[in-house]
Amino acid sequence: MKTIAIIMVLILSALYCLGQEDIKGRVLTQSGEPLPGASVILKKAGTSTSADANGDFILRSTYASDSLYITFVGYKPLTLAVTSLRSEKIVAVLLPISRQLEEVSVSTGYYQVPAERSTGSFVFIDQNTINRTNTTDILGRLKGVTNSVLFDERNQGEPKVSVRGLSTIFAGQAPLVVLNNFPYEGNIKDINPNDVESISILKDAAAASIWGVRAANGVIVITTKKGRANKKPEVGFNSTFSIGNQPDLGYNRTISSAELINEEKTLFDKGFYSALEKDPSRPGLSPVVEILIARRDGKLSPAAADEQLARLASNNVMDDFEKYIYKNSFNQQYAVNVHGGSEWNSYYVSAGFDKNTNFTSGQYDRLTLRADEVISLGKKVKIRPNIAYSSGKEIAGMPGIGEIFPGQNTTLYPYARLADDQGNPAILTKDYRTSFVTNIEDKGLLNWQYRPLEDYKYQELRTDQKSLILNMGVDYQILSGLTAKVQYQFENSRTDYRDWKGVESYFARDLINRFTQANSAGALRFEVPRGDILNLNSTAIASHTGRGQLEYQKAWAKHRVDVLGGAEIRDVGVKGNAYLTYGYSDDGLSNVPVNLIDQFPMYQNPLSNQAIPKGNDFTDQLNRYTAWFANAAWTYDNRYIISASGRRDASNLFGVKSNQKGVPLWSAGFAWNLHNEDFYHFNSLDHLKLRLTYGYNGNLDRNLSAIATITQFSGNFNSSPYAQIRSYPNPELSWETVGVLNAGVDFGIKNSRVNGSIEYYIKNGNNLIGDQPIDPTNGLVSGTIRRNVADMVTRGVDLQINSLNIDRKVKWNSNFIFSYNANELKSYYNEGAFSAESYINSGRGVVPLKGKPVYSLYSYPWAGLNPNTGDPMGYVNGQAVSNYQAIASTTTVDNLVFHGPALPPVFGALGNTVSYKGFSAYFNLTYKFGYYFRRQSISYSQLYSRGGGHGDYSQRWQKPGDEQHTIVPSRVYPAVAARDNFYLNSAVLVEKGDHIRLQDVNFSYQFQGERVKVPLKGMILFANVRNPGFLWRSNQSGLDPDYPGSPLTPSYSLSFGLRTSF
Amino acid sequence: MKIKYSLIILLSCLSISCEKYLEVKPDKKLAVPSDNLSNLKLLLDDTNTMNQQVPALGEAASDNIFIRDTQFDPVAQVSITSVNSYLWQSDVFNDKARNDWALPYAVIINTNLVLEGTDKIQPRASEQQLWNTVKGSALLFRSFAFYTLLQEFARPYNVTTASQDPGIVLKLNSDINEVSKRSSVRQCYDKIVSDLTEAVKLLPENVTFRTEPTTAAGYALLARVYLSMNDYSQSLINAEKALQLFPTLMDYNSLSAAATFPFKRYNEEVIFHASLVQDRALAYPYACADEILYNEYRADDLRKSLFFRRNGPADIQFRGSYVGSLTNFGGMASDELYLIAAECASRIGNRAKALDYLNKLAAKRYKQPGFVNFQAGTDQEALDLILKERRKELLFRNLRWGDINRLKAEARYRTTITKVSKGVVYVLPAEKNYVFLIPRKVIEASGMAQN
Repeated sequence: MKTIAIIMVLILSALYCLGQEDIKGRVLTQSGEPLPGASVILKKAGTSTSADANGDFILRSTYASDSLYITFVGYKPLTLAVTSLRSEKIVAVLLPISRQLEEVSVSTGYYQVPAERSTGSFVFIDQNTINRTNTTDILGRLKGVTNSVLFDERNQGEPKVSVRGLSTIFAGQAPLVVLNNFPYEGNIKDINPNDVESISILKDAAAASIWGVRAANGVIVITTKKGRANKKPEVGFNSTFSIGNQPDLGYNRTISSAELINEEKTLFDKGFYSALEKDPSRPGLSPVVEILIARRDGKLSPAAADEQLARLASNNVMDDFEKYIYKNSFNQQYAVNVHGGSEWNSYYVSAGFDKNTNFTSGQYDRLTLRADEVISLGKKVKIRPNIAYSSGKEIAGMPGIGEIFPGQNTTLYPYARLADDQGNPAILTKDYRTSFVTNIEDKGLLNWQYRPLEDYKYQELRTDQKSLILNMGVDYQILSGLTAKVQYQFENSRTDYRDWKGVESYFARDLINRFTQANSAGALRFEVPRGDILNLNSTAIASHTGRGQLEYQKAWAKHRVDVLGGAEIRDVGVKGNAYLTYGYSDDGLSNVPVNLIDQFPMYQNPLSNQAIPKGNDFTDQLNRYTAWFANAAWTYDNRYIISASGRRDASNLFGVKSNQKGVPLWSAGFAWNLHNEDFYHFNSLDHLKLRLTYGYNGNLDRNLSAIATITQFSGNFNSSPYAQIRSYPNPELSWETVGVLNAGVDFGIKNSRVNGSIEYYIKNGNNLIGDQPIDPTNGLVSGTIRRNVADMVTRGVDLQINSLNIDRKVKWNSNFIFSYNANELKSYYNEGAFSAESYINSGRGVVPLKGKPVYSLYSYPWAGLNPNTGDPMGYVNGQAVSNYQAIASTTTVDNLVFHGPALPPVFGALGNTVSYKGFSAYFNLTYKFGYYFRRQSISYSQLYSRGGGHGDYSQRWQKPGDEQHTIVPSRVYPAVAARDNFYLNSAVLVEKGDHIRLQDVNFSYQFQGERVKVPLKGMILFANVRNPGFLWRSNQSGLDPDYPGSPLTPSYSLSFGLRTSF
Repeated sequence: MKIKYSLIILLSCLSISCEKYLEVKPDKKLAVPSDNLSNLKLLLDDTNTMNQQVPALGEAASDNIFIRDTQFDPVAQVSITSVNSYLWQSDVFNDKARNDWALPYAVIINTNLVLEGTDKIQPRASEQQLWNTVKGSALLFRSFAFYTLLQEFARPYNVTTASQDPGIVLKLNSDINEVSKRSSVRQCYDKIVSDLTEAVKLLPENVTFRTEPTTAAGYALLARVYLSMNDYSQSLINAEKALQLFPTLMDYNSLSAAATFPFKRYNEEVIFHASLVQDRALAYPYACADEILYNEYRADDLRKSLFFRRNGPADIQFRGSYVGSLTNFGGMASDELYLIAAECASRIGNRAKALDYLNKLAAKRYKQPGFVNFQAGTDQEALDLILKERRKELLFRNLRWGDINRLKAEARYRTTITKVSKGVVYVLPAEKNYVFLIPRKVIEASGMAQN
């Protein structure tokens, strides 16, 4: 557009006049689309209305001349002078708010509120941001793009997402996910990110308390795309290919083949394996030990033995993993949608298909279908049906690192081969001695050897996931401003897990052989039939939610009131069946019954009697919730906003009195649009809003109860039903409540070229449920009990700054986000009653100490290695000693080293986008500061008992003087568990987690409409690199502080794709 | 406006039906134990907790096993408590939560919940029998657990010091917030006796499975408890009451030593089935049966081949468990009753009766025909014979440690245990009252006095 008008008024000549007092008009965008819902106020008269679906409005004027004040979310307010004498139809064109301050309407799931009129704390994430990365799931796209949201990746494969840190310790820490106004019970993987229009994150009490007891951990509100009325059908299509580089298999350093072989030789000479050799259960011995036994027994000459050992020493099993198992991952994503609308309806229909292959050739396919419609019946009734279906199929791939191991409680030895020199699958010693299983077929048993590279072919682990959501909403406008809304949602999601172990799989052969009974004449009887083993496990979740609410809106003169209130009822049923079937045949689907009651002697060890594993189980659960809620906001002159909300939740909690089944929660807020004040004249700081809110959210662990409860099981020693205590009596059980104070400033400088917000919050969590150490004499073997034990305070700052640094042909935008979030326990029941040892953990357990973060790292002080022995030393009464029992018993909490929190208190990102014509490049750096992690190292007791260990072994102290350059204790035999324990829990292994990471790089090119010959409205080609690597990290060990204990760490991935519409 | 009103009506209806709506049980597997007697019974039927976790480290500390030097380190790797118990060292029960102190208290909380439940439930006439069974069983299980704890964590009963000697914690309710306090040894034994006296009046004579307590089990436990209290006449009375109900003995002549395990679970002698916590340190080949003990069996003693398998020099495996597997038996059987009755009869001067009980048992234990009844010229001689047979009969049943401690008071029957490990000689002098230390965690949480 050549003329950049801020306000444009087109006055069309009136065709006919409806009456002197009526002012008619239409609110449109620059491109001529109507803006339904725009607020129109006649300032002097004090009357107001909002534009209808076509953008039309009518107002009655009592003054000859007046001014219209028209506002709409995301657009600049428009003031027009009107005279009722000239009753032409007015066309008001609203211009989008310039620059980056996207005036957005955030959704809480109950109502939409323009950011300008809200008191609460929200983050709004638009489609552009969601599209910057290319994950299959929606939550992954929030990584590094919004403040206050932290991904804790330490739980391998299942990142924990938290909003503004912890609000609770155990009672479920995941934020509530709301999809199209209703809590989402299904699997988050079933939501296709291509269908998502926007995400709002509700952070403070004013924003979230409408969700009551489920809001304590923050709420993530996902809104899917909708059609628009009066729009021609448009087809959108996109397609993405992603290649994930295979992970670095050497990330977790382990002891080398040669080193382990030497160890095993030494242990062998000390007689370490003699008990295992005699063990009647014939436990498998490693190839090295077998060679040593053969040499000892004269079955192998020393030269031949040495030659075989030397050959093993040259193996590295990681080479085989790399060659035969790990490959690049490959993900494909296709999505197509059609949307549009007529005068009376709008629709959005979409289909998405994803096909992913992971590093070990595991498959994941997903199909999503969605149809969403809004139908207007007359002016008063709107019907909003929508339906979503998704189907996912996951098939496990080849076994990865950590999934191939010899026997129980053993580590895969580094000299193992997965394939022989010709590439044929090799035998790995598994549960029994090689001599025992070799040629066992001659005795009539099944082959008892394990070939990991082949075994996966004879089994299949498949998960099918289907979900269906039907949703229907009816809005009825009872009076002007008063609307009744009724919504109902049915959600059904079903997971079918099928674990098939073919008769050729090691698992099935092993079970069949173990339960083979040989009589004295050598005749065999198979208690587990020779057939496949099939384990089916189905879980179906069906939820019904109904909600009725009344909404009232009125604007008069300078006032505007928005009130809503309603009730909700919800019923979530979970039903499950699990079956374990033996002698199954995929051909003909036959199966064979087995004797599950009697115990049988094991073939390999007649001293051991076992019963055939049972696997039938049923689940039937029903959770019910009811809630009353109300929310009100009063806006005066667009300057002051006061809001309040209340909610009472109740649920069918088991074992609590009915008055404990519910909890009332409330919030109140105030906001002041300073820039709308007459006295406000700071033109450079053109947007300034202050916000202050306070309120309560709640939480409860549904598994707790005030009285003793029991759970029933089947199959005790006599194969009869029995029960165990599920919850111990706890009369003081109460709801967790979290009081949240939030103070924020929203600002815009130079016509919002620089804009952002800064917020400070305090969350006071009371009666938090946690694990409390308890005297085992009271009947709890574990020595801990879960109940209301702690009060916690969390203080934090969220900052977001968006700037348009260069605004010429080349545009340069920056987004800076910063979060500070630090919690500390204010009190913890019985804290300090226990030995120092119980406060030391890996940073993933709760440290119950007042004044310290919930997840803290504590260590034994480190006094170095003893220069004469290489023993690690700690302190007893200030003296450096190696008496580990004394260290453990005399060290008090005050003597421990407190490193700091295990989760980063400071994190955020800096994103930069540079664009020139259609080309755009985006770089996003993420950072985390101020946290610690404990790295792993060698444990000699584990090395001996599991036959494997950490690569620090090679840096161990070996001779006096080594203590100058190593911290790794000397090797001792027998291992002293307390010594290993001291070293692994000492301060010397704790590292700072601080790092800066290049999280995402994105390049895109948008074809300008006029240059494309095909009838496309637009086309964007893009390429994306996710997680290219670290720019800086504090630790010197080359570890990824987000994955300190993982065997693998994610590598980078590349995506290419296009988005187009026609 | 109609819609507005109907909405208001609808909402108020909702609130009225709300309470009922929320009464639904969230999980069908859930129950409140005190709701009915069968729920209480289900708690007692948790065989894993109630019957299969009898503490066993008294066995490690006594003289039935030895751990060879080469096996010592592998055992220490797995359980420091095992080797420390074996050598009477102080650091025990601090490495694992599932230890000899905690496991019996897991039985006790179940029984306390059950007893609180039976107090609440007023049984109908048709339920009276079940009510009796449930209450009697709970009392027996609890007494059995208290008794087991006393054997490891308290000094043996000494009538003059029992009121001062610290016993164990008599936990009698399900309040998990109570601060634990130790009662005196006398209070503990008195409570056990009074509970069992009540239990035998309630328990049924017959049950479906031997994991469930019976009247005979009640008397058998009373006999065992009185024996520990050195109250021989009461012990004899109760042993005889139990034997009246359960006199059966297996004839070992009819058993085959060729079987992997010569004894079956729930065999004819088992009155009450329980098994010891499986500890690798106590299992062959990590621990072998003591060879001196093995050599004490006469050649015509059938137990020598049925209880043991000799795999080589100093390599003897015990396989005589009444569980019928590698798991050691920790319950009560009729053979023990014969030995208790014999011992008590001889101690109160009824030599004829004592020898009668002894020979009834021996006749089923020695090769027939050919067994000549034991004879004794004096009471002392009779007692010598009986205690010798007791030593050879009640093996790996968690009874030996109690016997060693009980008999310390009598110079004639004192045992000094000597163990050699890696060239170091460890001696537990007969005079020394060795008691296991209570787990550190318990002391920290309760502030109770350590042993």
